Amino acid sequence: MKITEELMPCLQGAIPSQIVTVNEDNIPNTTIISQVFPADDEHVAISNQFFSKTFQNLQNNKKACVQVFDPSDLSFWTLDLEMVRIEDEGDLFDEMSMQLEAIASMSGMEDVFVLKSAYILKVLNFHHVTEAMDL
Amino acid sequence: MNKEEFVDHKSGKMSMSMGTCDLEKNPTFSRVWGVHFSDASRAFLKVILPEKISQKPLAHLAINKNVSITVGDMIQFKTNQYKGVVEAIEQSTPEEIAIAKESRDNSTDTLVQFFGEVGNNWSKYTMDSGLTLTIKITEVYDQTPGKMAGVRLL
Repeated sequence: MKITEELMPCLQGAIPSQIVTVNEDNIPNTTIISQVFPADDEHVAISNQFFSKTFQNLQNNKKACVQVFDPSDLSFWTLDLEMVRIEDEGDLFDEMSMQLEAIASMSGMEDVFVLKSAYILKVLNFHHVTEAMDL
Repeated sequence: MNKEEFVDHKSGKMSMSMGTCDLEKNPTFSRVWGVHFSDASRAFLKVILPEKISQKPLAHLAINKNVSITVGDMIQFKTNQYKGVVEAIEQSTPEEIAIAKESRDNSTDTLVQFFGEVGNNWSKYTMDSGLTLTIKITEVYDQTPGKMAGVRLL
């Protein structure tokens, strides 16, 4: 599914996002992520800094869901995703690494936020959860 | 780690999310509010799920009662993850809705500090009616950014 213009502000790293994956026993795993980055018009990349369990789950089950926020009104979107590949070098990795440095600098986490790899996921579907708010 | 050291989510400035999934391993997120321990032994969590966004998580919970809740302190980044099994789903009482609104309003103040006027939009998240999930905690993890991230606490 193509990423639309209205979704793009949510992918600028202004507000931390969350990801949920599932293990082999159908137990979900949620965690906070610093970046959901537009890789191209059908894929996003998420930053792997710590999350070994998310990585393990994605090896066994490629499905994931992320929640991202629109910084203009704080409404949120959910994106259904499917894992495609991992990158640990190249232009996309370098671009994400630079953005993560900026995020880390703003939050005083320079020594903690270091990009290990970028997970590239195909966007299957997305939903603006407008029913959650009275905007 | 002593259970008493777990973050108090009831009145803090927290971001709270719940993950559920079906048996085909399709996950989804729900924004929840008012996550709090419901007993003195801290063996159970109560979570308020706004009814307006409950359709998909309820469909998941009808066939798979496993959940994961991540609760993050918006200022200090201290984050915990609770895994557990939903034991009851009931209509929220007025007292539980008040807890949910308190958690929303406290986090609204924090977002105003970070984002200015638009932060007030956080208070527009509706929770006039909600469902209260009682969750038996099975595992607790530290998810605070840093060396402790991923460490099992319970």
